[in-house]
Amino acid sequence: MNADRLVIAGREFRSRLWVGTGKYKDFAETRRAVEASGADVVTVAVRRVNITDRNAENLLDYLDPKQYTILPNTAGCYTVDDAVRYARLARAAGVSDMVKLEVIGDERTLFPDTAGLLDAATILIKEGFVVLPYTNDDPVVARKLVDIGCPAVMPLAAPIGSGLGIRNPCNLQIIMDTVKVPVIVDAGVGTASDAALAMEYGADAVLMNTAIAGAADPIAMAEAMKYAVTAGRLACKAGRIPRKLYATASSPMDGMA
Amino acid sequence: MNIQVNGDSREVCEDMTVRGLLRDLELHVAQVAVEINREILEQRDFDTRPLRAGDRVEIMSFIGGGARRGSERGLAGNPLRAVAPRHRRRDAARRDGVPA
Repeated sequence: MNADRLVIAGREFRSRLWVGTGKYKDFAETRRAVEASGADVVTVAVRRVNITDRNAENLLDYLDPKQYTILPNTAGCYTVDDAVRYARLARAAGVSDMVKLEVIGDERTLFPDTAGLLDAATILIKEGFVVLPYTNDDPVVARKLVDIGCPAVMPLAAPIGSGLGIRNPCNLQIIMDTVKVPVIVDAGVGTASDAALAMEYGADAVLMNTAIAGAADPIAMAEAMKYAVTAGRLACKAGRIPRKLYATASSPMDGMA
Repeated sequence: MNIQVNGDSREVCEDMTVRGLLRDLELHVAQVAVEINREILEQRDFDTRPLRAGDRVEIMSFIGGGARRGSERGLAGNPLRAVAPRHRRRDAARRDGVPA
């Protein structure tokens, strides 16, 4: 599938499965899961360095930025100011000028504050960031994000970490029909079939964390997700048959005795 | 003189630079961002920017993340049991803060 590369803002990605790096038992497990997933983009959060434990290990000792695209997020930011601040910190740390922009609007659902998201994205794009916005499954907001210069949109399938699967397939498909940029379904995937379904609908990629990290066997689930995303992508490009209410025989009647 | 580093007060010598502070802390991580009094410092200024008494310094880097670490309880486990009867979902929602 060499020709089937995902391209965002001129950058080419091999894998259509992107993974988060939170919630793993330790960094060794994180690395094994990322390897099993085949992902070449991994999301990370920006936090204070542990200055009390000098032997504390660093995530990036386990995930080589030369090998992976490190995509910092602004998880945990509830205001435009905070999201912009964390994005700038991420860029200053020197791994990327790409940011997965999150402006969270509600603690219980972690749904995005889409008004704040548009404001923060506007500021960061002006500063030269490549902004990949974590957004709601709202086609109008998705269109506005693209209009202000986001080179991709990342609508949620369901609340972060919920594992509920795709709650609003119709809206996701409308987003895919509406915007001309890649659509990365982000958050809410529970198992492999959810990921395959997202790709069958026409998503350009799927980003997940908890579905893998929270599985009983994260490494096996990472591998399952790799195949699910590949299968979904192939099925989408192959073109499924239309749904019909009644049967159509597959075997000819001719030649029956 | 006294400065704040990642929220903790810390005594450093008068002519301390940011680079010196990072060396003192023995941070062996290449990818750090430093913010002083809410202003982000370019990496090339680490050697030249002197610290002043009362500076609030934040040293940030990357940790595992995709989503925020939240409640691990809720609808995990057997997928066939994932959607509980309505009354149990409401009870669970009240208890765990999980959407019913």
